Parts: sequence; structure tokens; C-alpha cells
Amino acid sequence: MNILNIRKKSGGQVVLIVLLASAVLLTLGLSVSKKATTDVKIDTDQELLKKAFNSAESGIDYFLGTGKTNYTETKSTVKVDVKSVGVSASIDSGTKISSGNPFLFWLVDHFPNGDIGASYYKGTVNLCADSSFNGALKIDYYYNDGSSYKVLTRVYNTGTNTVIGAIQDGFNSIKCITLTDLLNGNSLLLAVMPIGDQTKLTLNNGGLGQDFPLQGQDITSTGNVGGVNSQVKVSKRYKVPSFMLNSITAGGSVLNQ
Amino acid sequence: MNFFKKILFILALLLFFIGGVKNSLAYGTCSKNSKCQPSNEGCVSSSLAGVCGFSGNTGCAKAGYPYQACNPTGCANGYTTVSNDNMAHTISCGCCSNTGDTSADTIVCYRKTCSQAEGTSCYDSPVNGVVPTSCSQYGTSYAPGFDYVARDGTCPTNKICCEKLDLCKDSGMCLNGINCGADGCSCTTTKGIAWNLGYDSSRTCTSTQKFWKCNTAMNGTCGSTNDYYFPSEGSPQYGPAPNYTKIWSTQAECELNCCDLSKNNWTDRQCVKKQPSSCSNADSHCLGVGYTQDATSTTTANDTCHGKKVDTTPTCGIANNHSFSFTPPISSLCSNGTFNSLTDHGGAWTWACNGTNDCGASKTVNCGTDAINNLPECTCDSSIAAGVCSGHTFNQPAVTGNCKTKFDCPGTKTAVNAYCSSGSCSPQCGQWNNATCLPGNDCGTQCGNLSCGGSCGTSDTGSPGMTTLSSPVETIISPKVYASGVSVVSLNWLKNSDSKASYYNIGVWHDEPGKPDIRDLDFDTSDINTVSTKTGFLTPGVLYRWGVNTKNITCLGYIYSGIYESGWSTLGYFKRSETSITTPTLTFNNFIGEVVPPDSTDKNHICQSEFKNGTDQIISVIATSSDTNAVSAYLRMNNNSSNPLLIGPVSYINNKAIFPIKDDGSSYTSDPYNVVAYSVNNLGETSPDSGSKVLKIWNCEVGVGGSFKKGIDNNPFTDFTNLTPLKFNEITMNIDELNSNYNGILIFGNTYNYSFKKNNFKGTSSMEVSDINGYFTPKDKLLIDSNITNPYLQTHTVSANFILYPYSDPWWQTDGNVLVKNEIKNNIPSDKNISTRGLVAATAGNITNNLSFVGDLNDNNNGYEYFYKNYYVNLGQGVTATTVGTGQTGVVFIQDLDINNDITINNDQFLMVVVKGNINIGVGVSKIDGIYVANGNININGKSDQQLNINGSLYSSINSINITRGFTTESKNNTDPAVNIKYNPGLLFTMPGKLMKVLSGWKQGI
Repeated sequence: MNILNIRKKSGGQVVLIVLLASAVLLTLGLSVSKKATTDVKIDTDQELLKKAFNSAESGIDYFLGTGKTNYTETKSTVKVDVKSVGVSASIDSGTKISSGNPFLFWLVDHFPNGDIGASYYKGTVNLCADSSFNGALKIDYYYNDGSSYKVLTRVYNTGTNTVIGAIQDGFNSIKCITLTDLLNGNSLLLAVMPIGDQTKLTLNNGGLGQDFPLQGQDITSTGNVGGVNSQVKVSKRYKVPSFMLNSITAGGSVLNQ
Repeated sequence: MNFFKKILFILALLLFFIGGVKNSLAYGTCSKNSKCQPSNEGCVSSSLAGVCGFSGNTGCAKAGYPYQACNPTGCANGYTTVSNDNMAHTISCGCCSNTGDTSADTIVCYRKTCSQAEGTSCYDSPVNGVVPTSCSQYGTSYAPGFDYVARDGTCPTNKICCEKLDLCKDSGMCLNGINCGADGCSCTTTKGIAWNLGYDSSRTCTSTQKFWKCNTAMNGTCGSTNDYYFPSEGSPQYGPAPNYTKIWSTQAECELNCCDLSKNNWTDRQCVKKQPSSCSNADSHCLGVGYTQDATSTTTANDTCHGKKVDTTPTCGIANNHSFSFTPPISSLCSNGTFNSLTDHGGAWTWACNGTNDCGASKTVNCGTDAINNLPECTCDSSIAAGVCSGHTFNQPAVTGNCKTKFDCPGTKTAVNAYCSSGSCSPQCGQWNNATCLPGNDCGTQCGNLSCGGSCGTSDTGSPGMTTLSSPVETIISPKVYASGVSVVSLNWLKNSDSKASYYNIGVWHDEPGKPDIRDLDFDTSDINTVSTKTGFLTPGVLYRWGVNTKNITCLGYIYSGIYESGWSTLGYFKRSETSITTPTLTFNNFIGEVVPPDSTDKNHICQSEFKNGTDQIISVIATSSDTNAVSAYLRMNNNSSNPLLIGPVSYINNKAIFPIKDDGSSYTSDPYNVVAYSVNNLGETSPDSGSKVLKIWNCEVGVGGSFKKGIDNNPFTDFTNLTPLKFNEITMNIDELNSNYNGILIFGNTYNYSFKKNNFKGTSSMEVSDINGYFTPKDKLLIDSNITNPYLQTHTVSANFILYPYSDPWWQTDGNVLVKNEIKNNIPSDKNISTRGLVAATAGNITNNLSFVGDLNDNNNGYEYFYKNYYVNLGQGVTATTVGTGQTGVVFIQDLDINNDITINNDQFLMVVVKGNINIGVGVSKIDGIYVANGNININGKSDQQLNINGSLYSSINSINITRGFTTESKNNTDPAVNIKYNPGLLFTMPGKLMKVLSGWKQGI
């Protein structure tokens, strides 16, 4: 084989290689072009969504400040929806309550200014945790015995001995605790704290009692900007700082020496 | 008849009547061939009828009949003699029946009674047909000064021994050879030196001990009287043993004191006391004048001293006869026959001749003369032809010599005197001729020396030198005084070395008013080697004197009427004390002399506090005696675990003898002693023991031990970290921490304060001590005394327990929930809960609570800034301030807070203090109401007797809460928390409502 022959045979292969390389490059180019178009689209939606969220937040503040539930601005509208929590046979925490966070179930109503009212829940309550809950529940039961405020504390363990000294057999099969010994009046508050696990907490009257007092409000504000909606939901409950449920609370230590 | 004549007439009638009765009792009738009735004692029947009675020497014969001499050996069989009966009269000889009248006459054996002279005999004669069983049945008709005494056991069965009662011996006054005085006693024979049987009647004399004949030992039983022997029946010496025979312990001694075998060859020599005698020098070794030889002795012609006693009123007869070496000429004894044999009858002879009788047969014919009975010289068988015998009568021939001639009694033999022709022989047969030998003369004329061939030198004549006393030798001015208990003392002198000295005579005298020179002792020694004797019973208080007179009897035979002697030695004086030593008293005293009485148990022990002298325990045991003659004292101590201790002598000084006693660890055992004291006076006399007292001597060491207990629950206390060592004063105890007990050694009588090492120990302790009954009572100090341990036991222990109440460190407590992010430290007692009702949760620390959780449950981190913004800024709630005090309500914002005063609010009020920095609560604060929030620390320090009550809540958002406040009175920390945080639930409901309406959460919607 001479050199010319070799060159004749090699010329076809080069063309093929060039064509393949061109195809690869074209494919890569088209792909890059598609992604760039999508990114532009996403950036636009995010911007609108952020504006809608801000409008929704502004709607909460607007409601809290004015009590009005609708207002419109340039390129955006806001609608506020307010729902009362409580005044029903069953109330819940809405979300899972993490370990160490107390959740308050009020057994007395409040005056509009937030002060404690004089209408007390009477009857048995069922306190339920998630079926998967595997911790303990600390329950501080506040009441007024007619002359002074009192509090009773109980801790219920589920399967494991989370809290030393806790009641072991308080939960039933559906992870509910029936509190039958609440005062038939003057009951004020159940402060329930999950320990060792998180759970959603539900309190119901078991179908035997009256409705629970008003616990607060759930405020939902929906903002729309450029056709993009965003919702912000806020619970406005009667609440106290959790350290006020304790006699001693420390972010460091309590030392004696 | 006047009155007196009537009286005399009546008296005469009475006498006649009494005499008639007496006569009728004294005499009985004896028929021929019959015996007198037993009631007619002293009488024997005779072959002739007559009257029996006591009528003098007429004896048993009928009045008017001649009295017949007895031949003791001639009585027919079945007859016996009657010896002296020691009655009011003496029958020299008894009566015998006529020979040939043997079948009809029976001699009754009349009782024999103890002779005055010989003292002892054994008799079997019945009294009125009854064998006496005691001497008293023989009556008491002894000589004045004598009585009977039974020597039971010394005579064979059915016989009884009567002996003269020797008051001297039987009262014990003749022990050890003491001669009694002239008071009825007659101890004329002293004991042998080696023969001291005492008064033990049961003692058996061994055959090797006693010799009354020099070559014959005796068998038998010792008598109750010293030196005298009563041979047993069947022994070789039974029967003839003379009374008062000296018994020697060995044959050699016997020979030395009695007989001189070198001069004689007797084989059966009687040993009797060697006495001074008038015998010649050659014979003086054996018997003296007045002493008899044994009747069976073989005598020799020149054994002149072995004759019978010379009677002052000699009566010839067999009793006084004497044998000499004489043999009749045999050739002339048989006239028509041949001589066969010759028999000596004690001075008369019979013999036998062989001849032919009338029938021509050979026949031995008895010949000779029975001089005693005046029988025919030859009593031949009627069938024997007369003339066989010689017809001679051979009597003792006259013996002639230079010095002595012993006369026969020539003449016709009569019934009264067989030997003497008349009663006026002079000299009598058997009587010595007196002769005088002068010192320096030869012995040619010595009495009894037929040959007079001896010589006697002058060297041993004359008086020996004076003997020197050895003890007592004190003078009349200062006599030797013996203790009152010494009734007999020894008298000792030095041996006299003078060759002329033969023996000693010892004299003891005392004087009495009107009776001077009363001699209490007159004692001759048996030889010159004896240098000691003893006195008799000494009368207390009587002054005695004594001396020794040395005598020479070697040539006594020369001077028949006297002896040589040295004269009395220098006299020694002595007396027996009249008073006995008194008993001392015994006391236990302390070192300063105070008497320590017995304790409540009536005992003493050395560890009593009264005996303490510094660090020592010393007892002065004092014997006190009022007896001025007491010179020293002894202590005798007995207990159960050691041999008796005898301590002393200790001299009396001012009537006190002091025995210091101290425990040295080895001299005494720990058992209590019974202690007595006794005194010894200058006479060596020992007093009776004092009263006994109990004394224990020990080292005072008491084992102490006990346990440690917790005062709270009485359980064992185990935390000894801060408690060791335990000390009683400076004595460290051994603590067994594992078992919570201790032990150690303390000293009885001491008081101990106990102490612990309290470097870090906070608390109190108390001690409880057990008494001896096991009851514990609290004690501040430990006094080791008899209330808590018995000092008289072998072991001494004390139980003392310690009850410990440690002071707790200050602690705090609450009734609410405690949520701590990090650690909890609280010195809360183990039986307390940090929270009385709430939950306690922390990541670490001592979480002591009923409800507890290990982990972080604190979700709070809002601090000053949060509350300031949300409450103060947003809600317009609260105020800012620089301090907080009572009356303040609501929410107060402060940069830093020092609380030095109480802060209170009403029940319907709300106070929340939010501090940006620290909160410091001073010791003067006792009550704070409200909620206290700080970014920094919350510090509660110091000490106060006031408990700090916080009615509310404490919250440090990011830092710590330091609660070190304690009670000033630390014991309060044991029971109460110095800081009590009481959760106030009302604050939740008095909180401004505005503060409650908060956004609790948010979430982005769909």
C-alpha cells in the first residue's frame, strides 16, 4: 500500500468524524439554549411568588392593624380569612409539638382584651397524641379552687420509661389519655408538653362534655401578584411565655456549690 | 442411962449390925471338893471344908489350917495359881489343891487386876462370871494417884488391858522425854532419841525398829504411851515383856545404851534402862542395884550384877534364890544303879538312875530331892527296889570369895523357908556383902569380884568440869520470853568434853510465893552425847530457870554412897509470854493515807479513782496493830487463778505496816484476791488473820468500742471521709469503716472527751454509752467507771455508740417544674425531692426527684431584648426601672438588679422583672414575689437564719442560677431548704391579657 492509497481511504473517515462532532456540538448547543429559557421562566415565577408572599404577610399585618380582610394595591390583591379556634368539642395543636415545647389548651374563656374570663370548661377530656408517639406527656392542670390558683402536674409515659416516676398506663390503645378528674368548674388550663418525641396534640370532650372555650384565631392571608398566589397562615392563640409554667428555668445550669 | 450413953449404945448397935452384915457378905462356906462361890472373891476352894473369905493371909484356907506354900510349877493340870489381886491385902501365894485330888477340886481363875507396880497386863478373868469389856469393870481400887485406863486394841480378843493411868504421859506432858514434876505424874522413863512414836495408837511398829532385847526385834503394836511396847499375841515377846521397858530403835542403839556385848556373850539379853548403880565398875554396864535380870538368862558366877533385887526385908525362897555354877557329883548320885540324867530345878536337882526293880527288870528311877515341897528324896515306883538312888540331898553349896560370900541356907528345910534354917540368916542368901572401894585403891576388894584382880585408876575420878548452856541463856534481868503459844521449849547445852563427864542432870525450877525452888524438871541423860531436852508445860508468865549438872559415874562403884558432879552450870532464865499477839486490822489506803472504803459491791480494785496518783494507780495496803510487841506484818493473798501470795514481812512503824501495791503486769493475776494480814511479834508469834477483804489488781485497761449510726434513721453511718480519726482525749481509736464501728483501749477511772477530725465535717454528733445492764444513755463525756463496766470481771469492755447528724450543705427546693438546659447541682438531702410535685429535667447533675427527665426540655431562649421589644415596645407594657421593691407590679425592665429587701405583691397582682444583667438577692431578703427574668446569672448567696421564699418563677435565659444561700444555723440545713421557690400559678392568670394574645406561630401557606 502506498501513501496515496492511504490518503484516499482516510478522506472518508475524516468527513464522518466531522459530521459526528458537528452533531454533538449541535446537541449541546440546543440543550444549553433550552435551559437558559427555563431559568428565565423560573426566575420570573419566583419573583412573583415572593411578591405575592409579601402581599400576604402585609395582609396579616393589615388585618391585625385594621381588622379589614381585603385590600388591593397596584398589581396585587390581598384577601384575609379569619377562623376562630376552639368553641368546639375537639381542639388540637394543629401541628406536631416538639419535645420540650408546651402547648396550651385553655379551659376558660378570655375577655376580648385577653384577660381570663369566667366561663369554664366542665367535663372529662381526652388528650390524644399521635399513634406513633413514643414519648411522655407532661400535663400541668391549672385551676382555681375558689380562693387561689393551683396547678397539678402529671406525666404519662407511653411504651418506654421516658420520664422517671411517670404514670405508665395512662395511655389507651389509641394514645389517648382520659382525664376524668378535672374540676367540674374553675378549670383554667391544660399545658401539655411532649417529652422525648413530637406529636400533634388533640383534646376532645369525648362527646360528653361541652365545647372548649375559644383558643384564639387562625388567620389566613392570600396575596396575588401577577396571577401568582401566596398564602400565609398565622395562629393567634392566648399564650404565655413557657418559662412561666416552671418555677425554675435556665438556659445554663442551676448550681448550688 | 443418960442421953449420951443412949447415943453411944445406939451407935454401937449400928456398928455391930453393919459389921455383921459385912461379915456375912465377906465370908462364905466352902465345902470339900467344891469351890467358893464367885462372890467370894479371893477365895479358892480347898480340899478341906471351911470358910472362904478375905481374912488376911489365911486366904482360902479354913481358919486354923496351915497356910500352904504354892509351887507354881507343881500344880496339877487344870489348876492354876492366883497371883496378886492388888486388893487391900496381898496373897503371896495362891492355894493349890492337894495332889491327887484333881478330879474333885476345880480352881477358879480369879480375876487379875492391874498391878500398881507393873501397870499393864492383859487379863481374861471374869468378874462375877462376866468377862469385862472395859477396865472400869475392874473397879478403881488402885493406889492413890493412879487410875485405870483402857488400852483397847492392845490385847487379844476377849482380853482387856488395864494400865496405870499416867497423867503425865496421857496428858501429853511427857512428850519428847520431859520429866514431869511431882504433880502425880511419873514419867520416869524418857523417850528414846530415835523412838518418837507420839501418841498415835494406830501406828504399827515395824520389826526393825524396836529392840527391847538387844538381839531381838519386836513385833506388835505400838502403845499409846511413848517408849512402851505391847507385843502382839504370838510374837516372841508376848507375855513377858516388862512394862516400862525401854524400846530402842536399833539393835546397835540398844547395845550401846544397855549391854556391852564386848564383855558378855549373852544371846538373849534384856535391855533395860541403864541406871546409876552401886555395882562395881566391871558390872555397871549392865544392871544396877534394884534391877532384875531376865529369869531365863543364863548366869555365871561372876555375873554379880545380874542377881535379883536386894530386898530390904529379904525373904529366902525361890524368888530370891540364885543359881550358881554347881553340879552335884554325878558319881555319888546313884548308889545301886548307874547315872542316867540330871535336872536342875533352880538350886535343887533331881536325877534319874538306871537300876533294876524288885522284879529284876531294868528301870529308870527318878531320884533327887524336892526340897521345895519337902517331898521324899526319892519317890520310886513301888515296884523298884529301894536303894537305887543315893539318898543324898544336894543343895546349893556355899560360895566363898574375897569380896562376896553368898550364903546358903543351911539347916533343916521347913515349910516356911525351904532354904533357911531360920529367919535370921545374915547375910541372907543372895544378898551382897557391902564393900567400899576408895578412889585410887586397887580393885582387890571390889564387890562381886571374886578374883579382885582388876584395878581402878585415878584419872577418871573426881568431878567433871561445868557444862555451858547453849539456849536459853538469858539472865534473870532479861529472860528469854517465848510466845504465849509456845508451851514447851527446848533446852540446849554444849557437850561437856571433860573425860570425867558421864551424863547430865538437867534441872528446871521456878519460884512461887512461899514455895521457892520448885523443881519442874529433874532429868538425867543416858549419856554424855545428849545435849538437848525439852521442858514440860510452861505456865504463862512464870519465870523459869534451868541448868545442867554434869556427873561422873565411871568409878561409881568405888564410892557406894555418892557420885562426883560438876555442880550447876550458870543458870538460864526464860518465861512464856502471858499475852498473845493481837489481830491487826486491814485497810486499803490511797497514796496520801486516806482509807478507801469498799465500793458498792463491797470490794476494792486498784483502778478506783481514789487510788490514782498521777498516772499511777497505787494502793497502800496497811496492816494496823495496837499490839506494841508486833514487829512486822504479812499479807496473804489468795485467788482462784494463782498460787497464794505471801508478801512480807514489813516492819511496823507507828503501829502500821504498809504494803505498797502496784500492778507491774506480772506479779498479780486479774482475779480478785482475798487479802488478809497477820502480825508477828518480837517472840515470833503469829497473830490470827485479819478480816478478809477483796482486792482486784489489774492494769485498768478497758476495751472500748461501738458503732456509728446515722441520727436520722439509726442506720449504720458509712461516710467516714471527714470523720477520722476518732479520739478519746489523745487516744486514737481504730475505725472499721466497712462495718461502721471502732475499738480501742481506755483507762478505767478516766474521763474522756471525744472528738472527730472536723475539717470538712458539718454536723453534730452525740454519744450514747451502755451501762453494765446494757442500757444506753446519752453522755457528753465518757467516764470509765463501774457503772459502765464491771471491774471485777476478767474482761472489761465499754460500749459507746456515736450518733451522727451531719450538717447538710445549703440546698434549695421548689414545688414547680424545673427545666434546666445543662446541669443541676443541689445539696438536697437524699430523702428530699428537688420539686415536691413538678418535673425536674436537666442534662446532668443530681436530679433527685420523683419526676425526672435527663435531657434538655428547655425551649426558652427569649431574653431581655425579646421581652423589651415585644412587651415594652410593641405592646407598651412594662416600665423600665433601676430597682424593684414592694408595691411594684406589672413588667419591669432593669439593667441589673440587686434585691436587698423583700418584694411582695398581692394575690391578684402581677410582677415580672426582666433584667438585662444579673440578679443578686441579698441575705437580708426573705420573701420575693413575682417572675424574675435575667439574661445574666441569678445569684442567691450568703447565710441567714431566714429562709428565702420566692413565690413565683426564676428564669435565666442563657446563664445560670446560683443558689448557695444557707442557714446561719447550719443544723437547719439538715431539714429545711434555705431557698424555697414556690411556684405561683396565679401569675399566669393575673398577667395582663394583652401579653397573652401573642402570635404563637406562623407558616407559609400553599
